[in-house]
Amino acid sequence: MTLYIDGIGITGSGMASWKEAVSVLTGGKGYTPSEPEYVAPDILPPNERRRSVKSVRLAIQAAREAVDSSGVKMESLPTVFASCLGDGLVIHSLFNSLSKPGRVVSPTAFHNSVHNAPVGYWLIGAGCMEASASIACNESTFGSAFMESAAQLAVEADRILLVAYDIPSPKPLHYAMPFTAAFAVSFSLSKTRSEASVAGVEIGVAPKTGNRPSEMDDPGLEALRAGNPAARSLPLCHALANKRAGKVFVEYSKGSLLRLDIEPLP
Amino acid sequence: MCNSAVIVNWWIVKPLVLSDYSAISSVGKGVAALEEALWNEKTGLAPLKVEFAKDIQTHAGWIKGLDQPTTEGRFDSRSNRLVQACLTQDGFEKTVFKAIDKYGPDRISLVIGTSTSGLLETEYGYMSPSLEDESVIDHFREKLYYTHCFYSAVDYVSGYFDLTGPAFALSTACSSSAKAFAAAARHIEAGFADAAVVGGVDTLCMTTLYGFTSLNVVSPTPCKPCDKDRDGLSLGEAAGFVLLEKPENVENADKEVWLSGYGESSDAYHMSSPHPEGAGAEMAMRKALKMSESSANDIDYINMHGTATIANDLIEARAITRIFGSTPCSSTKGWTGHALGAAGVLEAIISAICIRAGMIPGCLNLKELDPDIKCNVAGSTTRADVSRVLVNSFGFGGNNCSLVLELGR
Repeated sequence: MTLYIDGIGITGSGMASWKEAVSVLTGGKGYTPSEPEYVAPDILPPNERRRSVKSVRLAIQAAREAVDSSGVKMESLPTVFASCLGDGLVIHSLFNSLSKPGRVVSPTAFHNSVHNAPVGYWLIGAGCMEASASIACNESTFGSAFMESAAQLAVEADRILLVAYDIPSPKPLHYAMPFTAAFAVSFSLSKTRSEASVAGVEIGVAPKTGNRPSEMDDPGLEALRAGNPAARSLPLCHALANKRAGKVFVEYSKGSLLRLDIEPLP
Repeated sequence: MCNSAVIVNWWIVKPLVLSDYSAISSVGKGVAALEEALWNEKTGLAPLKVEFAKDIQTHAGWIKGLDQPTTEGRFDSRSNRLVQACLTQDGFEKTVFKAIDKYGPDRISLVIGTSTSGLLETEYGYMSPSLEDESVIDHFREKLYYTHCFYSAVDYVSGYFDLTGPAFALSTACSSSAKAFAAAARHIEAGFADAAVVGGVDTLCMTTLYGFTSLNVVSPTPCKPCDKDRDGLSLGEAAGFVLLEKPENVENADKEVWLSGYGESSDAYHMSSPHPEGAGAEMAMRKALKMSESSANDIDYINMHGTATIANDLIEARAITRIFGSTPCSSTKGWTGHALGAAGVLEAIISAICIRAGMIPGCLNLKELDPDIKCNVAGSTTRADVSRVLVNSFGFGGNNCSLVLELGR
């Protein structure tokens, strides 16, 4: 099936926005890793804004950029949020509390520890009552989220918002999930082409045998792609930034890669 | 408050057959044990006596026999032991292998809902006297990726069966495995798969025991859904798996239970409290009815989310009353406790039992109905013709999902 990309958002290491990402991905500006700014989202009510943690801030920032650039109302979009781990910082602090006598945990830390915390905050901020999913699939997290978004477009939604994010964890959690940098990406996707559409993407699968996931030529960007499950989206972003037709392969399942045939639109 | 008029985005997704299923909870292993417990009104809740919950006085649905490793080294966790036990009972494993022969390993979707995966193993890791020790670091490096991540059970099950189709974990807290049905049904409808294995698993861990305690919603006694004196939830462990197939691929499909609709919505209200008027819950129920081409009168029984917290039961009951009036309903959490991410699949299987056995389960532990709850809460388990059931699962983050199950048309 073919779906259309109407808006893109990025907040991650070395890229504060899609605009900055375009300049990096087209070679205009060299890639330098740097910790992103975790801005408290202004769409949240004061209590939620105060309680918002890094994963929430990163995911919402990317989501907001994608939605704004597509010109769609944020309350109207069903959502697929995706993260391999959730928020390692929250989990680390919660598990530290649980390892101490009395095991007292804060209610806020507890609700922030659920995998669907970022989408929960997004829905509150966006005033959105549509369906929302929160999925996890290790290194195939982005590929699975893209497929799940396509499935929703095929079956029951005209538009959908995809957001993938992961952030590095403190040690010792970091040893288990050694993500090297923070990255969030978001796509506002549509079933039909409109004036907002920047590219059409035909989605298919290809066997792992004989095919490899697409990589980045730049070593810094390749380290980012390999070091964060959400950054597995970088080859797709690279094609979109360069307005280049072509196909990219993304980790997807134990037997297959997701094949995305990209057709930039004028 | 919402009504059907505001639901503009709905499409008909074709029904699917629950051609086989398997469940484990604290009431017993296997579907027969679950049915027997429902008839006999025998709870699985008991005082919780485990070291990792030593500060908490509560009853819980603890599953015995999961203390020894039964799963492959790196995947070994309490959660995956439960998954393994659930897959290998009641011939469910054979059912999946047959489905693989029939459809091919790449044409079966696998979606498992969980809210805590193998967090317990990581919690134990953090209790090590020194987190700097090489042995601790090795433990984190070599094992916890395979047990902690929400994908752990999917990774384990897809490896067990060599499934290579779409496969991911869905983690929306307490609605996780209800939403797994919706995701799997979409994969089939969209043509990404021909059949699906839908599952859910959650085991007890410190995060949920101490976390829900911090919210003051854990009852010291067995939970009493809908009772005027209810004082919180009891947590429970459970796993459930279902094979979903298209009716045309199942022999005598009309004799089986079908998934004929799902409805998903969000509260957009609060991270851990439900919308005060139950607007999101009502929307999910109405969407599920609409997709299944059912009217409220077609539903014979409603399996409530009914966690037995003061706010949740009242809000859900009000939404049910608005839509269904006096249709019999109950929460089965008095038997199993709240199985969190596994609640959706467990209660879908309970609902399938209700349809096949002709049963309306009572609301176990209910002594005196909350006078503000006006829906028709069943007091005790009775025989009744049940051909269509609505199942509710609502979670943190205001994440709602309702399913409609019915006897094949």
